[in-house]
Amino acid sequence: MIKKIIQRCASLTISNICLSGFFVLVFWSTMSQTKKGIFIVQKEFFQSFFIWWAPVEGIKIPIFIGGLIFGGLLVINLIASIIYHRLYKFKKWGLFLVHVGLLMLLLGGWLSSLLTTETQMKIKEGQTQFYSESSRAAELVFIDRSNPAHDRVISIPDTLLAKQGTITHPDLPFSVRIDHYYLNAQLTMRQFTEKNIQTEPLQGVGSRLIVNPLKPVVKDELMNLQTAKITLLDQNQAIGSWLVSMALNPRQSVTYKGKTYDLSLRQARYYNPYSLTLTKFTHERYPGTDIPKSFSSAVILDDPEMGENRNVLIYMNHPLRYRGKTFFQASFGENDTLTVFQVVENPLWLEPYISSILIAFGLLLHFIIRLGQGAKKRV
Amino acid sequence: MKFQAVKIILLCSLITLFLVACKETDIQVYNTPKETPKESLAMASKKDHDIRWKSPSNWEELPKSNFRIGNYKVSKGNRSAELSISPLPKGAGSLGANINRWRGQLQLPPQTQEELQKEIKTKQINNKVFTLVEITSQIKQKNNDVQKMLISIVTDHDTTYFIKFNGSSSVINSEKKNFISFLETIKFHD
Repeated sequence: MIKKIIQRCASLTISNICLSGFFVLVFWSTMSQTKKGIFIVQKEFFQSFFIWWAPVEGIKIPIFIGGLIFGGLLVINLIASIIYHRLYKFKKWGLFLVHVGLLMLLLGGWLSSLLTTETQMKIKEGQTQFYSESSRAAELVFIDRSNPAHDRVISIPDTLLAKQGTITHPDLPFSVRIDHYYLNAQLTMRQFTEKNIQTEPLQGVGSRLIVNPLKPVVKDELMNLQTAKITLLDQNQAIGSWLVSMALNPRQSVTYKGKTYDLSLRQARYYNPYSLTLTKFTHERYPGTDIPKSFSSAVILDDPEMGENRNVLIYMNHPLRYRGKTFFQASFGENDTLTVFQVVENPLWLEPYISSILIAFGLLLHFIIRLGQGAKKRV
Repeated sequence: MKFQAVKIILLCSLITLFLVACKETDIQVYNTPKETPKESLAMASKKDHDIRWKSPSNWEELPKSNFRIGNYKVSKGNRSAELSISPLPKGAGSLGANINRWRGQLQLPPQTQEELQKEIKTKQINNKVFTLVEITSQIKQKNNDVQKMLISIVTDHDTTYFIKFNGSSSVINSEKKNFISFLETIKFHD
C-alpha cells in the first residue's frame, strides 16, 4: 500500500505538471508586474495556494493553482522519487545529489520568502542612523523617554492592530483597545463648516482631522498609510482616545500614573547594534541633463561591540555586507542630501549557491558513474 | 530505510514549522539610543519629497522643520515676509476651503465658490500646473503696511506642495518677480 502511494507520488507526470505550472506562473506574474509591485505579485502567485480573482468586492474565486501547491507537490514528488528509485544507493549517488539539490532549492526559496526582511535606511548628510524601516509593516509604539541613557520602546506590530482587539502588556500601565483600523487612509483637516462630524472626542492632533479610508496600494513605490483609532483603558475605564497614523508623525503623548509615553504609529523599525553616519552623498548627472550617472554614499560604520570603526563607500553594485545584512544604494532625496539604502537580511542567502553546486556536482558524478558502467560493459 | 526516510521528512517539517513560528511577530520591548522627538509632519503617501528648487540670493534660509521642507525670510528694512514649502497629502482640503481658511487668517470674510474662482490663477511651469492665489488684508498694521499672502499650489504624485509667501505687502509686491522666478526653478524627480 505504502509502496503504491510512493510509486504514484514519484510519477514523472507530476514533475511535468508542476514544472509546466511554474512556467505559467512565471509568465503570468511577470505580466502582472505592469500593474502591481513585485512584492504583491510574489505574494499572490508564489506564496499562495491559489491565484484568486475578485470579480466584485468581497467575492474571490480561485482561478489557478498557486506556487505553494506546485512547490509542495514537487517536493513530495522529489522525495518519493528518492525513496522509490532508491537513489541513496551508491551507484545512484549522482542522481541523489541532483534530487537533494533541487529539494534544497525549492525549500530554501520558500523559507527565504518567510525569513527574509527587506527594509530601508534613510540617512541625511551628517546624520547617524541606527535603524532601518519597513516599507510595508507598521508598529504602534509607546516610548518611555524618562531614562536619560536610552529610550524604552514598547512596539505593537500592525498584525495585532488589524485584529482590532484589546492589547495588554506587563510593561504598559494601561491596555490598548483598537477601535478602528485602516490599512490605508488619508487625513484631511476638518473644515470650519463641518461640524459634529467627529462623534467621539479625540486627544491630541486627531481632534482636528478627518480620516478618509483609501484602497490599499499595490505598487512598490507607494506606501499604505496605516491609521488607527485607539482608546487606552485602565480596568475598562477609558483614559482617552487618540488617532494614530503613518500619515501623521506627531509627538503625541499620554501621561498616566506619573509616567509619560510618546505614542505613534510608524513604519516598523529594525534597530542594529551598530550605526552608519553619512559623511557625503554624491550624485553625478550626465552633463546638461537630469539623468543620473552615478550616486554613492560615503559612510562611517561604527560598531563598539565588534570594535569596528571604518569608512565605507556604498555605490551601485558595491553594497556593504555587515553582520548578516546587506546595504544596497537604492535611492536619494531632499536636494541630494539624503541617501536611501535597501537593507536586506536573508539568513539563507548562501543556500541557492550550495544547491546549485550540489546539482552540478550530482550531474557530473552521474555522468562519471554512467561512463564507468558503459566502459565496463564494453570490456 | 523507509522509516528512516519518514523520520527525516518529519524532522524537516518540524524544523520548518519552528522557523515559521519564529517569524510570527509579537509585542516587543527594547531600548534604543536617545532620539530627539520630531514635530508633527503630515506626510504624503510618497516615500520621499523629490522636489528641488533654487532660491534667489537675497532670500535668507531659515531652519527647516518637519512641516516645512523649505523655509526662507526676505527683509526690507523693518518689513519682512516668510516663504515656506509644505508638503501635504493630495486632496488635503479643497482649494476653496483652503483659500477661505487663509482669508480667515487675514481677517477677511469667506467667499462663495463663484467669487473664489476669480481669485484663482494658474501657470504652467515645467509641465506642472501651479495654482496662484493672492490675498491681501484690509487691516493696516503699526508700520502702515498690510499683511499679504501669495500662495502657489502644485501637485506631484500623491503630494500637494503649498508654497506660501506670507508677510508685509510691500515686501511681497517687490519680490513678486523673484517669487515667480523661484517657482520656475522647481523641479520634481520622477
